Amino acid sequence: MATALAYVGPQCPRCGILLSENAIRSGVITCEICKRAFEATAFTALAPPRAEVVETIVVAGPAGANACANHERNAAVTSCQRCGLFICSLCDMNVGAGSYCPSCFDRVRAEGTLKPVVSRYRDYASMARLTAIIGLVFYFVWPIVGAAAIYFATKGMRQRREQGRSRAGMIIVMIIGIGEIIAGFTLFGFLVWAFMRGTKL
Amino acid sequence: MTAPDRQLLGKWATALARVRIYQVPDGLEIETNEHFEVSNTRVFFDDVQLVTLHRERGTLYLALTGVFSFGFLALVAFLATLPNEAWVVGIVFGIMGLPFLIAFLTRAIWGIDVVTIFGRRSKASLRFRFRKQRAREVYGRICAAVRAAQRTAIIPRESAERPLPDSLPPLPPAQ
Repeated sequence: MATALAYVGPQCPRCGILLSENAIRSGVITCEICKRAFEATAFTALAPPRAEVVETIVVAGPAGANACANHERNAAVTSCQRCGLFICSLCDMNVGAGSYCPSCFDRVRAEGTLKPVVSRYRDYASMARLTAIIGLVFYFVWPIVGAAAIYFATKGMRQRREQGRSRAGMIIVMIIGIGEIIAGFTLFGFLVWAFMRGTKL
Repeated sequence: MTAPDRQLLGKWATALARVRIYQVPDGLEIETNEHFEVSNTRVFFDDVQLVTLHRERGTLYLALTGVFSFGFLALVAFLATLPNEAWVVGIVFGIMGLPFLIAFLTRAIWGIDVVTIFGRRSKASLRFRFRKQRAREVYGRICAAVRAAQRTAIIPRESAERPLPDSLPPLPPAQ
């Protein structure tokens, strides 16, 4: 796995040196270090406003709300769907797949079971394509590579269906894989037949 | 995993990775495929600080393709001077050197237009080899999307920060 360098802010797109505050503006900018120019449009990225107001126990009253497990002064708004802990709106880690408390969110994120936060996955479609191509080149491993191509293509099809992408390529890989298996066994059968015939003579 | 309402803006490949950049409603999605591992990162439009456009040629790329192409050309020229059908071998070397020469000339003449989007937490880079008009179009399109996203982020804040008027509206009549 490649380790990416930490990104710290706008840089010169030519030499990668961090731009000074004065250099971040619209127009043609010349880098102070490499002295080469580039066209730029600057924007004012604002920090996202914290619109949500956290309800406290003082406002809700002890009868009106349960206390958050992490912040005893805050009123709980929901419970974690994994561990059942009462959590306030500060602790509610909801990314469109239900509410989680921060520690459970970290766990499900690390496990890769929370679909909306999965940012890294294996590309089975590319693996299927490569396996099928290897099979076309190395004919002596046809049945093994053909079976592997079908396996990866099946997984690739499922992945592409989830992503809403075309599955035509995977169907072609499956046909090639089936062809490789048939051709492999035919070749093997022919070799056995030729060997038997040779020993009889 | 991925949003269905995304539009491909550009793609390119290096020796180590294949990169695709999509536009999604709230930003850009960068899909990097390294050794069958796909990683997704995002640059949100309301996070963008700077969008740049420049043309680069790549010194290392030009040097490598130049050395190979002129090396093969020199070999062809040398073989052409030799007697006894040596020019046939020269043609073979000429064909071998042709891709390097084409790569060198196309990069030297057209270069690569690069659109870079710098956010507060992440950045994205789009490369266009031949479609220069497309590069400018994408640059303008990203700038417009960023402007629109940041305007919608500013307006609610301004309305929330607006002071109350001195004279309050009259109360409804008592019944």
